[in-house]
Amino acid sequence: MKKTLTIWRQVRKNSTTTIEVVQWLPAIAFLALLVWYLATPSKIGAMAAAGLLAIVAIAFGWAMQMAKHVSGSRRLQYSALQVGDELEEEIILKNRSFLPVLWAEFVDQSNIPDYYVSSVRAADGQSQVRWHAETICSRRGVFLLGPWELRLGDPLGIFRVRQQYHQRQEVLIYPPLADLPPHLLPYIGVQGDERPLHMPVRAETINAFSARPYIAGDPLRHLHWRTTARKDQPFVKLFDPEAATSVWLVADCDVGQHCGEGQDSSFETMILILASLSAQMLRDNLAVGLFADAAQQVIIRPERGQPHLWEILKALAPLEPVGSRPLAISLRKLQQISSPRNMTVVVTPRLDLDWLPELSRLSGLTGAHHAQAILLDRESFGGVGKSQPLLPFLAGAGVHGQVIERGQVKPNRESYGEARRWDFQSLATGRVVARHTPRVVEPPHLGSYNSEERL
Amino acid sequence: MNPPMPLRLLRASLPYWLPAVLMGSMAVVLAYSVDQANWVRADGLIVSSILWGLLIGFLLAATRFPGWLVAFYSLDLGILVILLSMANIFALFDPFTRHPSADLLADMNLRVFTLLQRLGGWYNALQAGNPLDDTGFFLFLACLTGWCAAIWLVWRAQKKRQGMAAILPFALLLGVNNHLSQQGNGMFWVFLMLAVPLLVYVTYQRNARDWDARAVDYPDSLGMDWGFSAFALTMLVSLVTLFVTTFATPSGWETLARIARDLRKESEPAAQQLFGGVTPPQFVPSPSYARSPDLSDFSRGLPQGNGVVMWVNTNDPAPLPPESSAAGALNIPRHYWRSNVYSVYTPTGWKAVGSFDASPPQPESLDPPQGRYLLRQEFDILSQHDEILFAANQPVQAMNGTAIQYRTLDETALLTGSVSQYSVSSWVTHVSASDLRAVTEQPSEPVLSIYLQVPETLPDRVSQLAARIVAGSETQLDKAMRIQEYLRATYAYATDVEPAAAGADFVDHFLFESQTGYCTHFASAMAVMLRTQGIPARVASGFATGEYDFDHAAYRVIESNAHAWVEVYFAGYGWVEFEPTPSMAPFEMALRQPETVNAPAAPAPVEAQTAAEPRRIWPWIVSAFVLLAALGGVGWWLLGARTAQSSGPSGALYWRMRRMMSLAGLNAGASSTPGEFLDRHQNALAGRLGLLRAAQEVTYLYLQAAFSRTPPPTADIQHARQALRLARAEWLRLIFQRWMVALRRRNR
Repeated sequence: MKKTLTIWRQVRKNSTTTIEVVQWLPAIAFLALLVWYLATPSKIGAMAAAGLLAIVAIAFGWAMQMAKHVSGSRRLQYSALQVGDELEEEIILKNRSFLPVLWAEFVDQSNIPDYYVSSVRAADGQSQVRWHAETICSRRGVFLLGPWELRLGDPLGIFRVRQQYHQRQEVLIYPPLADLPPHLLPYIGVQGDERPLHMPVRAETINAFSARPYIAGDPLRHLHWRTTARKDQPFVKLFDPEAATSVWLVADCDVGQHCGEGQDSSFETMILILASLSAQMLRDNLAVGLFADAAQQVIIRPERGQPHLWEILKALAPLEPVGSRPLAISLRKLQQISSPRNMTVVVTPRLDLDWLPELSRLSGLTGAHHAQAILLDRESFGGVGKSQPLLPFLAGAGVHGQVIERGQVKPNRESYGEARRWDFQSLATGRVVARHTPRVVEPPHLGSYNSEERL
Repeated sequence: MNPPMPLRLLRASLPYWLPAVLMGSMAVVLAYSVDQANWVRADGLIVSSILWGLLIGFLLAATRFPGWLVAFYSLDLGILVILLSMANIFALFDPFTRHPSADLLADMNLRVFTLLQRLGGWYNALQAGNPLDDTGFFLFLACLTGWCAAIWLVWRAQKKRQGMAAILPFALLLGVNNHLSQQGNGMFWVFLMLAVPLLVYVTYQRNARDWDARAVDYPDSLGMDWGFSAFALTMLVSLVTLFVTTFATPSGWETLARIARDLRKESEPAAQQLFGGVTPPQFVPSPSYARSPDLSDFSRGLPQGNGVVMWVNTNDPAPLPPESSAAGALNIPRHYWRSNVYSVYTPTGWKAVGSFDASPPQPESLDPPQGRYLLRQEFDILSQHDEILFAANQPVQAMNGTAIQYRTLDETALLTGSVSQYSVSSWVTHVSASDLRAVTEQPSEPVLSIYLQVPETLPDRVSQLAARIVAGSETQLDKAMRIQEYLRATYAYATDVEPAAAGADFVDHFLFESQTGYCTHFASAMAVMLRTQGIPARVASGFATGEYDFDHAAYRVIESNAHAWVEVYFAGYGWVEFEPTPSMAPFEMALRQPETVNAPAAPAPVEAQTAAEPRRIWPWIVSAFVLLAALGGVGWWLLGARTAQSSGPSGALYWRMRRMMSLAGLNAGASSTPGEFLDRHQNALAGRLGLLRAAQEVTYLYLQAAFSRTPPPTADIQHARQALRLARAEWLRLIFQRWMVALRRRNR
């Protein structure tokens, strides 16, 4: 934007209003005309100076009216939780001035993909204008609504009014889910003692068989106070593995290993698989945890129950690939918090097998079928090398391996997203009712987002 | 419900006609004020410059020229057009005023020569530090200023969307003009009323363009709100300016005082009651005067008026009534009623020299010499007059109390007397062109010594111009005719001529600077130019023929028939009249064969009675041509703008690329899709990767804008625009290469 000079400013709780001079030429010309008029008080000089002064004065008065009596507000009506959901905002332009708002431009700095609030509206004097902006969220992540700005001006283009609203709100878009192929779930079709995951005990057990140093994220109730006192550092109990068998999902966040772009990239497929695995396993009443060695280490300890799915999805939502993160080191970190009886599922596009010993070590106590590797076929994602030849090596190390190619796992659009958009149905009486509505914003979730101020 | 079609069309075309109307009106206001100011005589050229500048400005605003190129182009074009106008070059193409047998190239050469001489005069005066007396320099600068201001107005408002910057120079010109010429502020007020809506309109357009560029959505109906606001603002500003002007200036105070006086006038009935017996003095018009042009002082103007000066009856056949079908077929000889002849030219006026020493030859004793016949005239002078009376050409027999003064030396005869009704017989010219061409005898030495006189201060360029005009002419008659035709065709007739500056030569000023004048100017110029070429010539003054009145059976001569003409001496034939003034018909008898002498001729038109400029059609023809071109340009612009507007910035960029390709000869049929166009010319662009990539990028963006739900990002459009700009060098090379290939093929 062109550099301008602010000549009037008003700071409120959530906004700052300024009037800027866009054109200096009228002021300069007025001064010149004033000199001319004073030198030769002719009618022409007086008329020119008065005309220019009138133009500048009217423009400034108009701008002041806009600055003081016009306001904007926006309210999140329907928020998105998951990719495919519909997000909708109501935007209101309120004009308490007797002058009309010839143009009011909303400049939004929200970073939600494909979401455009920026537009121009006009309003009569003493009136208000409402309109809606909506989008269907296409990408997972943590996004910002706001800050935003309302720009107004006088009809002669001499002054510009800017109302900057500083509020911003985070919107978390969970990743989508998919119906996974049955063979991807390691316990399906395995009977008896061969089944890797025994029926877990629902209640907490007191049969702790060892202790280890405390790691951030461990429940405080698992602290073993005696050892803690003896070692002078916090130690937690390790429980009887048979009673606490869980699944750790491990994400490989090494940016150098992933390939492909956008929603069809190996990374997004990995996120989709992890989210879907966790949903399916939780539905099967297993305790599921998540470990990701990303920019910030993500550790979601295994828990059961459907509400835990949102914890995992919340952790997956902002996940992005980072620099060099050897999977072997990540698995070594996981060993510190994982029990030998836990099952570990690794999703990776790697073609090397440096990480295989670490994974074997994780499941060393219980043997086969307590470790699984889901290999993303690099070639199908646009990279180099196939993953299929690795499967014999995995089998030799007692790791159950699966290869997933691009497009093999797709988001289930029937189950998510679309059910949270407007969908209308005509009744026999001719009435039209909403069959589905977007997710209504309520305080526990995202909260209302109303930046309107009392003036 | 949809509004009716005319209203829809009106609204759709609003962005095109509204600024044109507003800016056109502003230009008309400025032009009118300049015209009213009367800075110089030929201020019509300033008016034309402003209006043409406005049109050129619109055309330039429709191009994609950068600002520096527009400045360069418009300045060059302005200088050229103004100089050519000042040299009357365009008049050469006027088929109605131009003689069909005239040599266009030679005439153009002469006019360019005149212009160059004039420019040289400016240069010399400035070089010598002398004051520049030629108002042409001021005229040139004023025209150029008006031209540039008009182009600036349109360019800034229409192209750059900077309303205030566009209007201020125009307003400044108008203000200065009206202030210095002490015009009222009415036109300036009208200008302000036009400027405010234009400011609002330009602001709206600037915002809209900004929103378009950033792909920000805005409602189509915004314009109506802006329109109403513009109206309200205009009213407000008008009230403020009127109020301030009334109460903030001495003239405003004067207005208030006048209001007071008006109120006081209401008490006049009472005054009338008290002083009703007092009669205010009545205006008595002065009687008309039979006054021919006084060439002894060039600063004296041409007598004007419609009062009848005299009635003249001759023994020539009377012309047939205009309603007669044969009226145009008869050739009545035309005569001027001469009262004075002038022989010595000075820069400030003509003088008569020599004394009258003999009696004229008597018609009873002397037959008319060759090339003449005897004409009897009866004069009835109604106005006051001097001792010198009127007679056609050479009076030879005076009657009714008149006398003839005759000078043997140069065969000059004038009639004198104090009577108002008299008869006189004259030898009048009746000679053929072939006779005059056959004259080889040199005039007598006394004639040559008197009538070849020119002052030493006469600028050389006058004789140089005369020499150029007569170049190639062999006989004295041809030379005289060439100069007569040059003057008639080149210079404009007007009675309100600015006088030459003190010390300036009258003829030189007319020929090279003012280029406009009346009979005194034309006759003086012809006589002096002839003298510089060794042809004896003089100026005669008196009255033109007048209009034949069928009721009186005589010619009615009025005050504005006062006239001056040229007489050229031919050895053996005496003084023969020539008519260099374009408002009068030339003397055809000088070209007629002897056997047609007795055929009656049609009466000639009255010179100064109409006092109007000759009919000039060429401006209309040129205007029509330029208007057609402008309409075509505006149509093309509208088409381009609509095409560009329909698909946003991506579309504009795409069509720009297509136009570039078209200039390089890469076209496609109307039914071709953008993809097909690209495929078709892939090979031609194969060697120019930058241009090919830019074309691909622009095409992709265009397709995305046209068929995708989400518009292409602004950053991508900027990138594509940059790519297209960077590919210009390759594009130019492509044009050059294809041109060379075409040239080679043609040669083969």
